[in-house]
Amino acid sequence: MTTLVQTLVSGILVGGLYGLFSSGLTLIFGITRVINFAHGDFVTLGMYGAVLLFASLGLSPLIGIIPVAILSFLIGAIVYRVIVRRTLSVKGISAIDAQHGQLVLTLAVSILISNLLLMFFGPSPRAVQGVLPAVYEVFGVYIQQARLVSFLIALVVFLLLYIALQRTLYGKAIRATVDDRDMASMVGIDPNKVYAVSFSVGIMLTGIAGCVLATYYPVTPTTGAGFLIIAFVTVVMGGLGNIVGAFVAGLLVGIIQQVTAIYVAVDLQDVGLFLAFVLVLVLRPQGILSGRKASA
Amino acid sequence: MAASTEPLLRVEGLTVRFGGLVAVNDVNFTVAEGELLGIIGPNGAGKTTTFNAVAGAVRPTSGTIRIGDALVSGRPPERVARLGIARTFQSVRLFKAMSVAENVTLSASTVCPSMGASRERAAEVAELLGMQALQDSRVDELPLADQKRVEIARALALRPRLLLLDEMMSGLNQAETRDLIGVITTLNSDGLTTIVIEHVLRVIMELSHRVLVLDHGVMIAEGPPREVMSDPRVVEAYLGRSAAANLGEPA
Amino acid sequence: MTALGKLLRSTGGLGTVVLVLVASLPLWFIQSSFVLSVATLTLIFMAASLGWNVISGFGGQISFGHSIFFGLGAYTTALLQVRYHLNAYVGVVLGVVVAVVLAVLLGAVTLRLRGIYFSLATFALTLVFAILTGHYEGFTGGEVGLTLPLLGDAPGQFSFDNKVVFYWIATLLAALAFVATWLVLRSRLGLQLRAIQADQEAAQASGVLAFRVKLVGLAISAVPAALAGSVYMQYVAFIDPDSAFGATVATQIAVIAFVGGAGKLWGPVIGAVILVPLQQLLNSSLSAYPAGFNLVVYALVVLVILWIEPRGIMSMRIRRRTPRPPARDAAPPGDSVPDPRPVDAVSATPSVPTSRNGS
Repeated sequence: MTTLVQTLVSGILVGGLYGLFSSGLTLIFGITRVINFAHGDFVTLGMYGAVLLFASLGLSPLIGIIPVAILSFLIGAIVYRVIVRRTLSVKGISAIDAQHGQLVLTLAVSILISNLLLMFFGPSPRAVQGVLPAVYEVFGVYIQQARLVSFLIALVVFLLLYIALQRTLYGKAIRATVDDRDMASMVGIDPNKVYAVSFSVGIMLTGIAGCVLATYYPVTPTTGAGFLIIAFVTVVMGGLGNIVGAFVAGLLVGIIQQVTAIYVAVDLQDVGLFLAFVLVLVLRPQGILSGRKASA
Repeated sequence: MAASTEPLLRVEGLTVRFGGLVAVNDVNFTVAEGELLGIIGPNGAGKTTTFNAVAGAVRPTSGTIRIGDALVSGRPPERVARLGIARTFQSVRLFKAMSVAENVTLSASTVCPSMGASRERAAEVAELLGMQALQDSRVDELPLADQKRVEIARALALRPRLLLLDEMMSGLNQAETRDLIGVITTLNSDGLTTIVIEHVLRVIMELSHRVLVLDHGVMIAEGPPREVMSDPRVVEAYLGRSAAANLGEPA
Repeated sequence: MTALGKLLRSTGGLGTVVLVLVASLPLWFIQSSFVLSVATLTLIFMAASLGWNVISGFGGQISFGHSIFFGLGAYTTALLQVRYHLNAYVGVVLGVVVAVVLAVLLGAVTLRLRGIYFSLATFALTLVFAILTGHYEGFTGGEVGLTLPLLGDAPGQFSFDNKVVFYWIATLLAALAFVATWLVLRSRLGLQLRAIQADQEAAQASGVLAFRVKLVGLAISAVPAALAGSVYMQYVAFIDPDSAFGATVATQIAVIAFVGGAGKLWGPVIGAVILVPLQQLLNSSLSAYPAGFNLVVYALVVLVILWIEPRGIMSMRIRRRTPRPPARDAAPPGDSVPDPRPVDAVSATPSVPTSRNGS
């Protein structure tokens, strides 16, 4: 029983971070229809950001969130401007060809980022050590301080995002675009601006998730590959473009992973996840696929 | 038109619900062999849903649709097409990167035994519609009026028993509309049973032998065009809601 | 001159010229074993990517899981020899059978999904294969991988001392894959796949049995990938889960085709000729640079090519002096291969840097 509770707690705590970077992906995916194959590497970048700030300036990742967020936003804006916009501006290109182009281009960005990191930091794991070292025990269940705090930060950032989407003008424009792109542009929302902002915000959330994840998760240049597929799984489970769905699904994914790891085998933790993913795709395609044309 | 004893298409108790919305409610009608039936109604009346149900693109919640003895309802669109019900789309949906000949050959290939036979069938249809000169053009480089003809050609290549035309006239000017009406009338007088959905009432009046009026998913009138248009319920359905725009708009 | 031009412009003519050229390379161009191995790997991955082109390029169902078929070909060939001491050729044949069966089973589930959901599902599935292969090490050799026994020169066992033989086998494989995709493209299946790619609903309204067509397309497309895996296995004599089913192979097969031009007959050919040598070259010659540099260069090359033309090299237009020829070259009616300009694309090849793959 204690093992089960421990498993669930671990799953939820890491799942909050999955939820955060997945809500970034779903924001990008739902609005710009870009399948961002570099998403996992933006998590990695956030993690290296935290490691670097800590190692050079002694800055705690909890404060490092701010510079990492700003930088991630800027990188997102650049990637959007240079790469995504390019595929849309080629003369005579169809929506599907543009999407496929984005897919391969972001894949190349992924290879680029992970190997630049390899060049500069080498293959060995880096970590932020000694921040939030405490371990709490509650009724026989152990909770690491770093995991708990990271989860809480993820939750707060996610809630801020949610409120921003509900209350601010940009948020409303973004939601209007998710609901009906044609209608949105008819009422005077500039889709290009909305795309650029949502892409950048999506990357920013991802960077933040990476930054706090670094408090307990060692990073290597290839760490992002695992997060990429987790983010895809989460986004699909949560429903395309559904921010709240992505966060909730993130928790679920964390739990599925932990349960498989504890009760089946550690190295099979992703198999359980991927099979659950394919099952969701197959059993609920209409629920997941509805309201989607450009990617059909 | 000499209506044969057995109707070609028989729609009975057709109801389509999307979630809580009843798009089509208990609609019954038949289409005789060789007939040209018009379906009209204000926006949201359920015209396109009815049409999609006949084409197999929408699954009826209840009711049956038959062509001859074969059951249409419940079958996927590709099977319905092979039963002889061919359609066009409201907004042209051709295979963009392909030539005119390829577009038509494609649909011929689903009913012909070989590629050779499919190409012959496509050439036949092209000749019928006077499009031989366009055969090698890419469809996305054609003017809209020609694209609509290609859509008709693609449907005809299936050797349909019933042709469904969804708002063919939208976006066309007067002369193009006239041309297309000519094409549809000719095909029909050669014996092709046709159902036409149209926004432009003038076109329906000119084309149809019989008109069916939908409003809010319910069939409110049916009969020869002149009679139907003087039916007070029809006038109210149109003038009550979408007002003069629908009546006045030329094309 | 015009007769030659016409010959070169027809796919068959150009294909024959290219085949003769490629087959004769070891006689006059390939002088070192390194170049020979690069060329052999290029042809092997070209074949896999040509297979990919059938379902993903023509049919528009972008697979990030063709590594499943590549890996099944490789592992079936290897396991039958290592575990059951069967002849390698039996393994090659069974590898194809296993891959096709899996293609049908996985396709039955995943081909109901549209667009990118299919891509994501295939990607997840190939990673599942990679993890499972690593996990059941008693049978598969696990993460350590499998090594073929050294047989020396035993043609009856698909083992040759002279590596040129593998080169010619790879040439034959790529040529067969090319001819197969060419035939698919000209067939009813090809036309229907292209229609599904353009607009599945409209294709269905025209009577195309979309699901069945995609399933057949996927099964056909698995064959060259599986054969490529088998030949790779016999040639390299070593396989591990990552180089069979991993994300690198999965994306590599697709990226080759995308860079050359997905859906174009010559796309995978051009893509492989550029990317595979590029990567091999970078892997070997840049050891003076820090690890990762090779893939940075590789990624930049892919980025630049697709930034210039997101649809790949085959869609690049070489600017013509005349605005546009009034009519396109008289092709025999019905022989409508969608891309009438293979000559331009091939002549463009040498001017573009170079390549990737292998690992």
